[in-house]
Amino acid sequence: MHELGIAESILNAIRLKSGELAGASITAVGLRIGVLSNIVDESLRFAFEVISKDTEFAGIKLDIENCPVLIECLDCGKRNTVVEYRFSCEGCGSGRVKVIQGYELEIAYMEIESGFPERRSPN
Amino acid sequence: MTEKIPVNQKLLSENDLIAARLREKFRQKGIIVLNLVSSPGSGKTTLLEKTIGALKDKYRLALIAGDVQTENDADRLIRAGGSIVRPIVTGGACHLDARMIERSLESIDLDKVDLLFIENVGNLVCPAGFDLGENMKVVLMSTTEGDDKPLKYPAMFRKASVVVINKIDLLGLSDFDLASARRNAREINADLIFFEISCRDGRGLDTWFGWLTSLIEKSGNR
Repeated sequence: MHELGIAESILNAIRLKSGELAGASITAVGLRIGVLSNIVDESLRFAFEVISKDTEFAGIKLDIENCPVLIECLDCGKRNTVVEYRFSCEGCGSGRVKVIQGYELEIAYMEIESGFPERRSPN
Repeated sequence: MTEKIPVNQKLLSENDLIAARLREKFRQKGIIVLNLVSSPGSGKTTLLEKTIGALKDKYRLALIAGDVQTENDADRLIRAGGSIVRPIVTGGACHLDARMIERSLESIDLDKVDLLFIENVGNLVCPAGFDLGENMKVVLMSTTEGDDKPLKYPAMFRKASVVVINKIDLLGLSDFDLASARRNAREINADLIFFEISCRDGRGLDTWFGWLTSLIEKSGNR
């Protein structure tokens, strides 16, 4: 729900990375966003658009990989995806489950477009 | 020439960073912090009034009460006997955030606090996304609401540790079914602790006070 704050973190990360590169520009940022992070893709894109608008980073694409919620049953060991926040094992019905995927909120990669083969190493 | 460079960097909002700072501070001071959330009108302020009455002579309570407008809730808590009470008027924000809490704490000597209650803005959506550095989120719901509440606000019930069902004196006057409410909440989060209370007639309150007492005693601050 705090997409604006996340968009700012993304922009800061882009700024930092961009400072390490010479003669190359960032064209896209790959994000991994778990369902449990409660970040809405559209809202994030909009927030990012707004804050990057009059900067050199306007137009950078956000590639979003949505990670579904995966749980592992602590009683029978079965893993299943969670639909609609019903956290119970599909195998034995137990509510004793561990969330193994779903809280992700991270930058997976950045796509760089360069006209030159070499780039300044980060130091 | 396009190149994909791996980054694998977690994104933390400014709020998460401040909340982590607060959590560490609370831990160092041995303070229990409870973030009380609910829909508007479930009875947060009344529950805190009763809690102040029961615990103020034994333990040192601090309360932060947030609302979009007015300091009415904070005023009620002071009248109920709260000696350390701070209002937060957000002026528009539908939730409290860690920065607001940090600012409120500037005028509180945390060495003189055993238990801090944060009464959040009445809202079951947005507060789920804003960590305040608390030990637990306590969700309050009442028997004059739908018993499918947990299914409609799953993120909040998933993040909560405790559900307090209030207004049990009004059971039977609506279609609210206690067993359904508990079942729905457990479907979202099987680890929830439940309390069933009536702030009006006092039923269930002793159990609630007893649980709070055990939390404080276990924190080793005494």
